[in-house]
Amino acid sequence: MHFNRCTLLYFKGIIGRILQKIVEIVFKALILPTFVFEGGSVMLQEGANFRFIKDVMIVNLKGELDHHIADRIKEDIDYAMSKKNIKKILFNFKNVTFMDSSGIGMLLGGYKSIKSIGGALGVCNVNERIKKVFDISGLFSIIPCYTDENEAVEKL
Amino acid sequence: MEKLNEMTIDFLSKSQNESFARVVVAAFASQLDPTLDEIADIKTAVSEAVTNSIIHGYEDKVGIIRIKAVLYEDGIEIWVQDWGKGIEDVELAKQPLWTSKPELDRSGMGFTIMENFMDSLEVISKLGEGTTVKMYKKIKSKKS
Repeated sequence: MHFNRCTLLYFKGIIGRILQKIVEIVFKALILPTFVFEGGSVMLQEGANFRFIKDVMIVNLKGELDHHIADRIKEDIDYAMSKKNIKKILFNFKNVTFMDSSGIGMLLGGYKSIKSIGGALGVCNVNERIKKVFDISGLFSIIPCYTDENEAVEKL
Repeated sequence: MEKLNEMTIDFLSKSQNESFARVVVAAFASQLDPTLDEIADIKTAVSEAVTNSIIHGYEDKVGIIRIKAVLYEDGIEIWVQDWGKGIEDVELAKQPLWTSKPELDRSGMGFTIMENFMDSLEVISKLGEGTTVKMYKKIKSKKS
């Protein structure tokens, strides 16, 4: 069990899988952030929503990305990578309202980890204000920035 | 120059207060009628300074961070002070991409961002006593 400010619900057996399906549907209906593993468990997140399109794990960031939030997202990504063989990560910045250099640090750290296993990392939907922080750090010289998720999934 | 207004606030060096610090300074600065971009710049700079105090100043301990903001006719002066570890070599610390904590996924861009987003930056630090970051942002007010 992995308890942090996210919760892992794991149900066993046939009844377990039915219960799990119900929980998934309810959470999706309430538009609660969720992360679905193939192994049959649901993890709830704050500040980020994890999905999969093809072989890319998409992290939908939400709200402010500062040191406090970045630490938590990094934990969740590490956890996800320990459970699933993830080679491609995309960070979607569409709903990010604020970012400081902690966000840059988080991306750099993620980039180093995924590169060490031969994977790829990218970002998309970065607005002008957030782009200013990216530009100062020069991060775009090593991490690709895509216009949207579709372009990213294609090119990562 | 004449001081229009001033505030000082103390809070614990907990990361959940980073957001609070940004909002408090932005709210105070709004009295100068800044643009959204100017507010965003101020929030980012404050966030960097406060995060530095939490991660580097106090490391694993919890201490007090003091923010003082002074409003002048043409801008805002912001002080962020901690009584933590202090910086041994300020010039080295200010170097872009240099960080004393790469293992914590720090990008080493904090001071660089403060320098870029604010109009001036001064760092006063003494090992074992603490660090004070003083920044100024000119606000090109609509009413002139």
